[in-house]
Amino acid sequence: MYLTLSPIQIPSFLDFPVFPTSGACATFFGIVRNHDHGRKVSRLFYEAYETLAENELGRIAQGAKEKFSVAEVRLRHRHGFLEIGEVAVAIAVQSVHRGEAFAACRFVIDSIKDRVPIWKKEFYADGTVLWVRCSHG
Amino acid sequence: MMTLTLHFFGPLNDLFGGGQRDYTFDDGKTPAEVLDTLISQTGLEEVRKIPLRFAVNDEFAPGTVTLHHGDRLSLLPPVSGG
Repeated sequence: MYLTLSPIQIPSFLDFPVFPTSGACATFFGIVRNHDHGRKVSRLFYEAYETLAENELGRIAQGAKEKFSVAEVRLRHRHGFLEIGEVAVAIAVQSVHRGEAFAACRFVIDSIKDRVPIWKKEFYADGTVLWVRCSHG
Repeated sequence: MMTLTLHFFGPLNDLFGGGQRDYTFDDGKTPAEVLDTLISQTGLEEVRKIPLRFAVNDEFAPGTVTLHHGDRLSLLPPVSGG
């Protein structure tokens, strides 16, 4: 399961076996920040189309392994309500060398933002709420 | 006639009154035609400005595929995860 309603704790996310063939591990954490386009944000809600999002996250992880010949892609995406400072998305890529680890990590987060059916709703400090519009694949 | 379960996501939730709902349409409609009918019936012309994608029975599908009775049609606005 790539989606989780529970908070993603960085130490436990990073508690995975390292392959003896891995010479590099690149990680990325997307964090909920307290501002967006000059507005104070108080919390977020992520709505996921769960079945399709799970499938798409799996395709992205597999695609990164094939495209960059990396050994392992570990991936979690939070949904539901998130508070400021919580982890929204966590990615860890193991590979032989650093170049493909960084590239695969970037590929995974960019692909998520591009095409995984998850929608973000921002709750602002002034009491207003807005669905954030980003992109289509 | 065929009954479809329409599932609205993201901002469409607020526009169409939330979640999922059953609708009846003429047989043989495509997702694009269903959307057009829905907009005409509800008067939500602003939806035409949103570049929607479709999913049929939990798989991405083009707007030109033929729908069948009992299908679950999801309307997907631009995503904003990550």
